[in-house]
Amino acid sequence: MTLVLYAIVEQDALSGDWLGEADMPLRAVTDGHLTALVRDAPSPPTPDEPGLLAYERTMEKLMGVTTILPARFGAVVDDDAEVRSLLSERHDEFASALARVRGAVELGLRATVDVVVEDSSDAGSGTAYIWELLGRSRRARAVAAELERTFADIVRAGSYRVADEGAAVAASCLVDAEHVSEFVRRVGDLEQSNSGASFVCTGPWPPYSFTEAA
Amino acid sequence: MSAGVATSVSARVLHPAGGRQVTLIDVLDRLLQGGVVIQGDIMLSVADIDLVAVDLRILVAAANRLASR
Repeated sequence: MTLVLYAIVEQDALSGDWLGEADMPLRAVTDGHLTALVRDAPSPPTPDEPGLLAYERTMEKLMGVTTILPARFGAVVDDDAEVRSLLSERHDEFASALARVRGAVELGLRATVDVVVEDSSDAGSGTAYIWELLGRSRRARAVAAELERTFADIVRAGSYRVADEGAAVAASCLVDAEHVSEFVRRVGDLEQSNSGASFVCTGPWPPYSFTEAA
Repeated sequence: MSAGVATSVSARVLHPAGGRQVTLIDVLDRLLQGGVVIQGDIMLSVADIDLVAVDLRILVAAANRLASR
């Protein structure tokens, strides 16, 4: 047997037999005022599609009930004693992370940077290709900076990372629940504003990207 | 949506609007790169994604399939 760690919550977050009532295959292991939600399993989880989706579904159910710090998929421990020492050794880290994400959700934003075709005599050559890559990478950094400016006043925290060798910007933002619709509205505005990128916004997610202090 | 495989999670594509589903890539990004990490996990790094070393082949195949769409 092994214990699969799902999430860390505050001890008083789950009143009564909430887990049982919600038909969740989880149980609580508590140390002080922190509780870990774990599942007894014969072996570590398999990272296949059904396994990952089931994990995410469970996490979304939990985030609908209380503030959670989600564990990375595949986090396993041997027994309850190990869970309790994890909670005690990293108490301050977990407590401040829970305070940081309370009342907020994570939104994902992916900006794909437009390809600009230069009309020049060497278009299609290796040199033109390299120039295009350099230009796109520069534009991606500009898009990342613009995203940061656009959302600064409505996100608690955000990371704006140039990805795919400059072809895209991958952003994760921690957003108060009441600001989600405003966030999505601003994404729509950005797309209308000829910003040189197209956008896909996803969520709300459990705060996977904000479990560590920035 | 052709790449929308995550039919069973609640997280949605919020923009462009229309209730489209998130892709497995969206899910993988977060479940495998975010979240609380506990020491002792056996992690492998494949293409900058930390993967749990249980059965990588399925996962990588799924990711490649999606990425190529």
